[in-house]
Amino acid sequence: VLTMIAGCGLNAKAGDQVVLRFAYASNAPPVKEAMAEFGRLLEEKTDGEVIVKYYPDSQLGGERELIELTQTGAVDITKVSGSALESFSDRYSIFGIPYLFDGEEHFYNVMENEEIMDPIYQSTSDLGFVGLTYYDSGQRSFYMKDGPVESPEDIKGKKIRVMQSETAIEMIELLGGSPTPMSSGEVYTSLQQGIIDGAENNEFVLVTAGHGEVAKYYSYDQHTRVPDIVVMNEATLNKLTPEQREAVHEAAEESTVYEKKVWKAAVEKEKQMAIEEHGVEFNEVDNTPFKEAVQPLHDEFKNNEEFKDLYKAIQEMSGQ
Amino acid sequence: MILQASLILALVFAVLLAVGIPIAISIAVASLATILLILPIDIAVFSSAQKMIASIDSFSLIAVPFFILSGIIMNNGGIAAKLVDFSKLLAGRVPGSLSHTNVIGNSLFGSISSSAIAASTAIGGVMVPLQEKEGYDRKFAAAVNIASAPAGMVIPPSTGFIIFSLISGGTSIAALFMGGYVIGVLWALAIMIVSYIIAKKRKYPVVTEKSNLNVKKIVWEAVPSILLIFIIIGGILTGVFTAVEASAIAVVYSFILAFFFYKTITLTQLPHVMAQAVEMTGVIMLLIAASSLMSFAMAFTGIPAALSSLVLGISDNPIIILLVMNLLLLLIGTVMDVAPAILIFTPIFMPIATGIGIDPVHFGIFFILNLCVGTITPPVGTGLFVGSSVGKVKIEQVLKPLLPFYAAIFVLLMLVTYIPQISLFLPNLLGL
Amino acid sequence: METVKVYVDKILLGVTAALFLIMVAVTTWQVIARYVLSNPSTITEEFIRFSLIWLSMLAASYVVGKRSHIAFTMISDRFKGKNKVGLELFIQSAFLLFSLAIMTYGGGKAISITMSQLSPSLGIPMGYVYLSLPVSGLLITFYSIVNMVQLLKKDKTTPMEKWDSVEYEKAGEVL
Ligand code: NA
Ligand code: NA
Repeated sequence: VLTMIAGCGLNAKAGDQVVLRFAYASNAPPVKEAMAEFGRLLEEKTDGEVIVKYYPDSQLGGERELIELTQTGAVDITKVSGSALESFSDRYSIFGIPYLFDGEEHFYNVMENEEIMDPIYQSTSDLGFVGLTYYDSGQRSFYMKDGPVESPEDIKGKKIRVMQSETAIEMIELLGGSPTPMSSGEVYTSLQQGIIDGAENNEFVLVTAGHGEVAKYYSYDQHTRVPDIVVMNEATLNKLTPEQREAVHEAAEESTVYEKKVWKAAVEKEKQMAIEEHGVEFNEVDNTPFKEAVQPLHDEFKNNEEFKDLYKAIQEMSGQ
Repeated sequence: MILQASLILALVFAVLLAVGIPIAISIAVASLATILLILPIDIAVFSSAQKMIASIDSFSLIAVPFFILSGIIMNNGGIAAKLVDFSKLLAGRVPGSLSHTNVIGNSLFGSISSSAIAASTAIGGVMVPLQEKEGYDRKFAAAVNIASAPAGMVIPPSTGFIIFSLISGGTSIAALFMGGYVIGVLWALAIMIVSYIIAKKRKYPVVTEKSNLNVKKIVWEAVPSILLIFIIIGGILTGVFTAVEASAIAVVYSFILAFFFYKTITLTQLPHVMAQAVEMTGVIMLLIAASSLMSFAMAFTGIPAALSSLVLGISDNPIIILLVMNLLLLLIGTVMDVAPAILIFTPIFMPIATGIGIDPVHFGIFFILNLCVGTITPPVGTGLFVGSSVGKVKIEQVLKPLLPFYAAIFVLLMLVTYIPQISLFLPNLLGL
Repeated sequence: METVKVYVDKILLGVTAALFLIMVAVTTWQVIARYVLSNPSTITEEFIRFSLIWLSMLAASYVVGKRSHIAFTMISDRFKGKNKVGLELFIQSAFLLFSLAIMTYGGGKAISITMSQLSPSLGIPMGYVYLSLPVSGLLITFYSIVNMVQLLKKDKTTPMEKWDSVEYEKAGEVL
């Protein structure tokens, strides 16, 4: 009898499969694919010891709630916008500065620099969770109802919807516009009714969220690049064996490589669809006058005791 | 696991509900029991607490208490009698005119007060006895009142649409409202057609007191109330304010009307008015909070996915899937209140509907129409209970006279289900 | 205890009614501000959301005091005398489970993990928002106990059938 029990115990131990609960809010298809890729890679690397169960499309709540659920371990992993993490660790607010990056290359270089990113990822450790990796969420630009944006003149006096963020509001004010903070659910109707003249986001608002039906001009001023961040409950991470933990980090990093690739293809597809289905016009913008206008925001971070080192480190990587 | 979770959720909920524990508490406790299958207690109670708060942490949701408050102010302002008189003018001298008066009164009152039950009580309370006095069968009069009251639930402003918009991820409230006007008017018309046929067959007298009506006075007194409806629609359509902001405007407007125009509410009565509004807000907001807890418990244990593959497993024909959804929703509507049903079942049915190519606005109207019908179907339903108590008839007595009305409503339901244009033409026409 | 309840009722109604009217004023102001001033504020939306949470939770506890939460009473109405008291006590203890486990304990846990999390616009700790849960949870606990005490007292004086059961009218009025 004893051996039988022992045997059972051993079997249970060996077959003990770790199931990680991965929840996320609404997302564009390429990001979802990347999250699925993470699970596939992790299962492969651990020979099926660790598997991932997904709770997609805000089933368990919005980004803020998902972070809290990850904090307590109700959820093990979530992926949220870097701006949602600002409330938890002010380190993340640096990504809200317009023209922090001089372009895509600069952005990638910073995001893949461990010396810069590790302290940011670890900054929420005392809250119970840490960052694993980032996903490219593209650039944010203005899209308007009545005409393209070519210079800050075209923003002057216009009502622009912004997220609930002080930095975003200040940016619009510096550009001479009238910032109108509202929740994303209200943007479509507000554009349609003329309560706002425009908004700012990446290309996926045009067809996926349908805003291209009412706003026909998308202008690439590329003011911000806020990364998505994959975060994990730290206790869950520490419970894994060292090999499994290593696999989590590897799978995360490889899913990022994958995400960058599919993201680009999806953006192209979204643009084509916006042109064909809604007749959206895209235009390139010389963003020099925009950069000049938002300098006061840079000065705030440059002169801030807490942020100046981080800010400087990021700026030093510019043009590399 | 899914089966176990479903059983615990359903059983605990059913038992608690049956012994008379309030719906919100039954929902919350059953959900907690289900979550405990997966999470340890301290994390389970945290998640529950978080869901309750997160579900009401929404700017759009303020429209719910605001429309409740404006409805109560209007209700206390004694608009029911004024609307009855006004409806009499509209109903004219056609056969069954008093029934038509009741239907029109319910629709107008339901729109202004955002409450079908308040309509059923306030308008029906006047009209059912009046019809009996004029020689109508009391059971028939009660049936007319019961069958037409829920029309006020789909006629905006409608809290059901606001909650649906929120849960479905931002379906346009303005578009839902415009579709709701069409469906609500069709509902009222359907009841009036049936009443007309029955009244004509039974030779019910046409109202005789028409000459006594002071047309000018009636119009002058009713128009400012009815203007509220136009301020709301007009404001939304012209882009002066959003549907959510319209709710605050409605409160301000009804205050001005009650304090300065009708002079029906004084400052000393304000605490009483506010107490009513606070009480109703507490009831509905706790229901919303608890229902989202159940949504979470279901999502966490994988019930929605299982249910949706069950529905899709029956057929891949959209016509059949819609019919199955109709039946399920009617069934849900028979035992569940409208608000929790929207909160709990939208996340389950919405993906199925959009998956077979149903427009979200069409789906929202179809969904809410179904649940509203549920409030007047036996065995349980608030509309049915209140309507029969207002009409002073037993539920068993009112069921037979209700049958022709059920038939008319069912026809409407089928038309709305299978002809999307009925729900969509007005929103499309207005470019919403 | 019942006199305490009268005061708690009054204070609760005063606070919720005031909050309610402030929210109406702020929302109306937002519409006016958009037209008159071009100076929108991130603060209004967040202020209104957080006020709604507090209003809802406090209002929910006020309703427990008024015994007006919607319930189905078809079966419980058939209970008489001692059985009825037993059933009512069971119902009130479900309130206690809900208010103590989820609202007070769960809410307390939520506060402890969100005190360092700052809201994006107002910059206040999210814990203050979650605080509405244990506060209302304790109020509901208080009201449930008062309800139980009244129930046992009435049992001696009046027949149970007279005890008002929750009315259906309340149910429909909300939609
Ligand atoms: Na209504
Ligand atoms: Na029913």
